[in-house]
Amino acid sequence: MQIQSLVQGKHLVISIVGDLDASSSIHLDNAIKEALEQNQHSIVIDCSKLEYVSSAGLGVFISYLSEFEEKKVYFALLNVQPTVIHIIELLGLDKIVSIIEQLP
Amino acid sequence: MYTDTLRYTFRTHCHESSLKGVREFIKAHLEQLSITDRQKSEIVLAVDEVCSNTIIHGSNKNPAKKIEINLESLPTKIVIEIQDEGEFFDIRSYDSPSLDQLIVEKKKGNVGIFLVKKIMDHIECFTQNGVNYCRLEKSLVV
Repeated sequence: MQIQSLVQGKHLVISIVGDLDASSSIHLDNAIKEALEQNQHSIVIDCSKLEYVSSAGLGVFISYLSEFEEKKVYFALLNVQPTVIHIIELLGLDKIVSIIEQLP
Repeated sequence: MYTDTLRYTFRTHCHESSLKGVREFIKAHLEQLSITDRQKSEIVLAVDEVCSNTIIHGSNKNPAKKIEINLESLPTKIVIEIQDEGEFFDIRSYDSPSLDQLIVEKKKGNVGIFLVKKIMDHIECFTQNGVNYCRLEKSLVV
């Protein structure tokens, strides 16, 4: 898995390429932690090249949702592929997290 | 006697870096079956979750230990059996917390077993002669 953080306008876009599983989710965790330390007000995860996500990856998102709310950070998943969306839906996370097709 | 049953085996080390290989093994064999992409991704996820649990919690990511995955394709169901020699854990006995609870507690884990139970139709876990078995079944009958 490869991960890259890039500021695009008012958003910090974290792009994930490859599989987000128990072996790689730590990198996403670090990227989100760093974004919060930098006081970013909008964190968008670009999932257009995310091929697979397991509970370890989804667990990283879940663990930050309270903090996003407390700090009023906008958080969304961008361009999620159908197989990944299905996994998000299985968990019911689609009802809690914004899933968008373009940056607002 | 011809039984229409296909069986495949994959053995690897108990390390997180082995998980991609496990998924590729399952995916490659599911590609040969007439099931939907959604079913394939669900089964791959369920096996990945059980193997992650086994590797991380059951075997403490010890690459000297082995994990074996057997995939059996029958006309009406797919059976995947995961074998290891780590600490035994019966995933059926685990009550997964709710999503709301995880959000409040800021927990990173604990949803994998919930997904396995949601995806698979039958789960059996037992230990015999020092080997742990986790048997996952997915019915192909609509």
